[in-house]
Amino acid sequence: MTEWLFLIPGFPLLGALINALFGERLGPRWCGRLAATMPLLSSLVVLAIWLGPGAEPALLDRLWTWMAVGDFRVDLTLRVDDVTLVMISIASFVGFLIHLFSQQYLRGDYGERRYYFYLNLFVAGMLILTMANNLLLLYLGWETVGLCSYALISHWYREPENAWAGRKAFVVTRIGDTTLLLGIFLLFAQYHTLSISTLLPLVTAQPAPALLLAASILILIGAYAKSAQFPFHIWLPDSMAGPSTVSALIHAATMVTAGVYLCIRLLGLFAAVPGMLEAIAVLGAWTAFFAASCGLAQVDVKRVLAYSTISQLGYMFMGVGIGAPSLGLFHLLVHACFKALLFMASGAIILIYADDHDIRHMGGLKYRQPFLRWTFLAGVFALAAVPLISAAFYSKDAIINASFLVAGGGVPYALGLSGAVLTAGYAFRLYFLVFEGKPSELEGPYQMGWGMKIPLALLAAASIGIGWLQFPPGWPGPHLWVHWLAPELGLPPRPIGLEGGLLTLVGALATFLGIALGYWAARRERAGRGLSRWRFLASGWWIDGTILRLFPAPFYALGRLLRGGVENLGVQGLAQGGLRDGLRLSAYALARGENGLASRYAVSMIAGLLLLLLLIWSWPL
Amino acid sequence: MIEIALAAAALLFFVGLALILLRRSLVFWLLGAELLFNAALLVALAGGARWHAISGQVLALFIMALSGAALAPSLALLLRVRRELGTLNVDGLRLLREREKQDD
Amino acid sequence: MIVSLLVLLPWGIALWLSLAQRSAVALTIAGALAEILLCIPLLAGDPSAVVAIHLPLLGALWQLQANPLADLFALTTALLLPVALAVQWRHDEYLHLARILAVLQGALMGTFFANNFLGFYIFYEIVALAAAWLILRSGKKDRRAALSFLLYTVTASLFLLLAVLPIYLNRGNSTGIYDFSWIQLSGSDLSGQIQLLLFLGMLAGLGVKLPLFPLHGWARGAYVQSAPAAALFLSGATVLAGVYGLVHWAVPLLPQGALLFSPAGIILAAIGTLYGAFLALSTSELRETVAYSSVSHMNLVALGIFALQEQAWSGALFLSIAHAVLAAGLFTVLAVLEARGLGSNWEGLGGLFRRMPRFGAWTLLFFLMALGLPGLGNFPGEFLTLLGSFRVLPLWAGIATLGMIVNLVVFLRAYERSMLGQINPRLPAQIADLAQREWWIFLLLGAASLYLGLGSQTLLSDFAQLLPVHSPLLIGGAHGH
Repeated sequence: MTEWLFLIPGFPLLGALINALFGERLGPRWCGRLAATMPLLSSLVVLAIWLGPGAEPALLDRLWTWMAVGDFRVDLTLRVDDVTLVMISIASFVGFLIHLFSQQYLRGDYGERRYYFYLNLFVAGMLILTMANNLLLLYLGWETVGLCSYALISHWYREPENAWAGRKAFVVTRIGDTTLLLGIFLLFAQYHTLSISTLLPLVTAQPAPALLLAASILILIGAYAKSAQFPFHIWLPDSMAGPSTVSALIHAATMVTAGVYLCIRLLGLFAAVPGMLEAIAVLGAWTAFFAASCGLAQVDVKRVLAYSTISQLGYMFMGVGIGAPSLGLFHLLVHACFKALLFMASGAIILIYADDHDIRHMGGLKYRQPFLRWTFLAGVFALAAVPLISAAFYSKDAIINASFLVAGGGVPYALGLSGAVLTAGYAFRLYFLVFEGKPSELEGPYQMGWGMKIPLALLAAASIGIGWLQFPPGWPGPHLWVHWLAPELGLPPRPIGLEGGLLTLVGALATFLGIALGYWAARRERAGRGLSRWRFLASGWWIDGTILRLFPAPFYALGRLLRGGVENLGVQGLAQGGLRDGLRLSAYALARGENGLASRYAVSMIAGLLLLLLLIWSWPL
Repeated sequence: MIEIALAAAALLFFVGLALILLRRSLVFWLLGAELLFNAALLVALAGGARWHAISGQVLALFIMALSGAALAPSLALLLRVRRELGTLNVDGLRLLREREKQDD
Repeated sequence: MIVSLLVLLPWGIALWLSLAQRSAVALTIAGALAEILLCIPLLAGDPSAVVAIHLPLLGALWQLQANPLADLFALTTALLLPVALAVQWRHDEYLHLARILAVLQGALMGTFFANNFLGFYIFYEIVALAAAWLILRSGKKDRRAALSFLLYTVTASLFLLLAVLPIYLNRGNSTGIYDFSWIQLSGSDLSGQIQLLLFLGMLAGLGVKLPLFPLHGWARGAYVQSAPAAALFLSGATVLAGVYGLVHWAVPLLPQGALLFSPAGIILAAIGTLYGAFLALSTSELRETVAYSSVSHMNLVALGIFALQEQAWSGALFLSIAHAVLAAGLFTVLAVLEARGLGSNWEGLGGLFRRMPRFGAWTLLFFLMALGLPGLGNFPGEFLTLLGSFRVLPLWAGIATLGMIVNLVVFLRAYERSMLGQINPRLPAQIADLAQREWWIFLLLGAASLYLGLGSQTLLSDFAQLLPVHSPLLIGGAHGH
């Protein structure tokens, strides 16, 4: 089995290559079909792993040596363990569903071939990222998905704003990538290896506190920038400029979860630094709360979902921070299902409303689009974590409840719980505004084909049912997930007995409170007095604007200063001009000496001769 | 023995030098140059005698031939200069001088 | 024998082109291909060497010898020439350009293989003259740019010569053999301080070709004013002479000086890296962007060399070869724009992707390579350079790393302004997308970039077999690993 691992990222990569070289001859339709086949093939290989040997012990496939100089060595080695298996299942299968959905969704678009090229490349990059056994290979995948994110956000490049949004996303994440690279440098300088499986035992065996602190902060910044965590979240709402399918795949299901995945992978590193995990938990809970509050005031259907993604990622980080990485991973899986669903459905909604994103213009969609309504509702249930019948109830609430148990978990618990109220609030506000109420006259006819319905139906089923893999402790029903991952990630703290029951009850109450909040907010929005008029929330606490005003300007100013002051004046003016003028002056002086008076030539000749004689005479040979 | 020869050579050399430095006439320059040649010739001869080497005398003969050969065209040129410019003052020979205006 | 041919063949072609003005295209292409073929036996390990023109007290001027590093650089140069010729195809200047490029190529081969310092120096000066001539006769035929290049290089290489003379005398005095050959010059027993001083002198002469900050004054004029094909060869191949000089002559001849200079050199080069990136940020002229990013990359190469550390050296050598591919790609992009009569200032462009999608896609590839995307050619070099120097001087290597962010902004912004967004109304209504020939150039360069980026080990393992003198581990007391 192991020698076939390379096929998992290999298929989409091949698809991208064929598309790039021969796509023009294939035509957009066949490009799309080819592109959709590739992640399907990958997911079949992944399925073979599930059915066949499983990933215990971890599967390793060493392809070739990428770089080896002295004691530095990076092999292209793919590694699949249980955590990776979850990630590659999401990336390949959800990736396939989104490819399938795109067939109809993007038909007739002006960049279909380009779209499928980047989509395939993205899936390949994501698979490499997750399967990498080496930090540098991980970085390769990390940057590849960053590139694809850029290209796909700017997909409709003819609008300058879209191109700008893509650049913003790439630049903000690149800041994190660079700190990640610096963290890699630090780790290598200390431990002389970048292979994750050898690095982590070394970190525990020979801790170097100051260095580990620096390295883990740098790597964490990288993870935060990729996963759009506060204050690096500013790129994600703008990234909604891309097609909704792209948002579904990249900015909800897979790429943005790479940061969480990295933290789970390097848990040993973060655990070796005292206080680090606690900080991750608090920051995650804070982001969850903050972004949920922003989501409540958005009027663009996709921006609601974007803030919701930021918030949900916050819960995942919180799960990692409180020592429940398996729950964080569980929520990652659940979130991938329901958020991909919501984004794809919102893409359909936007098409129905003729590219209008404003939810205040929508309403009553349930009458003409019942299928869309029920699937969307399944996603909203999952997002709001409606008790029992939604997957997030078993994952997100489990994280919040677990945080109550750990020492110093009070702040995360409070933030997480209030975030949960807000989450249910914005989720249902969105639902009520779009699907309930009077039908809007802006609504156009749109018929979803099977290619769109199947992915939505599958994901809706998963959004409801996938949580039943892991019931709360003490409940009847399967408890598969946590125990299956326990050998790799350990057991999370789990509330039991009366305490557990109470916590679950509080969580459920929070959801119902949130639904009421959502209903209220939707009514006020209809009446034109909604939360969206509150600029503070609608602009995301003014953070985006502040950062954009503060940070880029000094760099451009420095560039101009260096150009005007140093380059033009100093290098071109003084140094080069000085050299030129100096040579010209000395040439002039010498030319003056050449006055044609032979007697003076004779004198200088003899003087020169004497000087040479003197030199030779005094030379210490 | 060699000291005397060297002193004589030095004397010849400085006389030649003085002629070139102090006089402006081309005739005296030629004379001075010949004296310089002769000083070198004397050194070569003295050295050959001192170390019993034939090369000193060979060099002396060579210099004599060379200076003789050089003298003939020099004198011809001198006559030509006299006829063209009407003077033998070396400072009058500045026809090839670069003009001031051509400075960049 | 082959090494002499490598030098003389292009010179012969140049001579022929000057005498007979016909059949230039076939001859130049054939010559360029023959040059590539000649490099192959060298890479296969043929220890070609030739000694001629022996002068007393100086050594043999024509003393050429193959070594692994020189072979690689020679091959890179040989491969770049057809690209430059193909870029300039069917232009009025083709004949001029081919002639000068051939002279330049021969001289570059000479600098790579010369084993006698005077020979190296003479070849190095011919490179400078030919390059200045190239700038003078191509593109905008800007006298100022050519003069500035000439002034910088000739003035600086004077320091190079002056710095080697004391080594020559020192070795001559201690061994009694006065000779400028490499083997004779190495191993001098000069004190560290004097070595540092002499190293600075050699650095001035060699660094100016890179160009090392702050000796980069010529770069803007040379890369912006000359024809793209000329600038391609200048920034891709000519800079290799500087790199080779540092690696083969300056550091092995003055190891203690290099070691003393190392921290200051890292700082200087780190500043230069950022400086180039920031200058590229503050221009709307694509040619200047490309020129300054080239300066920035070459300063990164210098950073790796100064670090005197195994990974950093491999990275720097790798980067200098990858940079040749990158320069070829970027200047071909500029050449395509120029061939269609479009300016290279993005104020006059915009939305070009709509008219030229193939061109836009390839442009993005090379811009991505320039901003150091992993998987493409530049990344292994940049990464190893920074990783290695990080182990020597973490702070400044870290600062240089931040240049990657600036680079990203530079190239993404340039791409956005010229390619994306709405079509600039001032653009002509009809613009032809890539012709077959241009597409093939891009394809070959792109394949080379991918190969360097993912199959990096083929090149890196070649570096592992470099002459012992090229390994920083064996330079007395270097940082090793």
